Amino acid sequence: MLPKLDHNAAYIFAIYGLGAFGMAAMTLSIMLKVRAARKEFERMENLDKS
Amino acid sequence: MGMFSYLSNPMRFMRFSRIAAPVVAVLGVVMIAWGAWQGLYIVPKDEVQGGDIMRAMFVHVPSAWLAMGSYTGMAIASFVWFIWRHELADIAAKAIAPLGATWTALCLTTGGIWGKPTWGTWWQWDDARMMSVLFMFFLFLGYIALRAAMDTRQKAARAGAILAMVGAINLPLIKFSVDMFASLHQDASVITADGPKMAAVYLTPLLISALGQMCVFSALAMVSMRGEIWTRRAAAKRAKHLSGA
Repeated sequence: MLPKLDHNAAYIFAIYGLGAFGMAAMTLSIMLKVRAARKEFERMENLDKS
Repeated sequence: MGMFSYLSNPMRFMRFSRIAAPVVAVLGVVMIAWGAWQGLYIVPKDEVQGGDIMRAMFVHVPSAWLAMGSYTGMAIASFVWFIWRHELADIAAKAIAPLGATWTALCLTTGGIWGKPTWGTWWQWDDARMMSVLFMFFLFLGYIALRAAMDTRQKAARAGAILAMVGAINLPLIKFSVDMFASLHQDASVITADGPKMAAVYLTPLLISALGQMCVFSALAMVSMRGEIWTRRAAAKRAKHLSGA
């Protein structure tokens, strides 16, 4: 399953892992922040209507 | 230019990004996955470049391009805001900053990990390429902190725009640092005056990986801009309620 790499395999996996983790963490953080912003906007809009 | 003009209306941007962001994100993830598969399993290792460690290129190089590209984008958006006071340009600059900081951090850390087996060190304090990229990372953080420290949105936009535009002077320094100063970092091998110096077997996955990261970055920037637009609209409604209008 894992690719057969030379003695630097750990460095290579660390680089790919860091890339995946960095992008996933940024995605999650933005999604949570944006969800909160949308909810707040919807709350204010409902307040407008009521 | 017509596309930018069309999307400069926040309502149109919201309609466009609602569809475009997920489509571009999926495309980006597919391209990154293909690039990683090529990089880890398919492309032959290059003994001249230190063996298998050159496979780090498919993560590190796109992140470095994105880091510089994001700063360029932030500086251009800041310039547009500064000259024309276009709110969406300020929203774009604000959305790009944390993304740019993340990609610059990725560039620095993956570069350090690649450097250890290649140069024998994680970091070199007197290396112009490393230090200029580190400086760009601090510029992103400084931009975020400066905006957060201002008490009004207008002041935050102005201070941030000035910092982003002045900091753009660092971009040519990053690009040409390996030519102007002695550096552990290798010379440019893709974006050169004579064209790419790399074999197609490496160049194609590298460009696809870069395009993939660019798509993910763009999708995240669009989503983040949507969030900022909602935040500003909610703030406007709150102000309206408080004033009793």
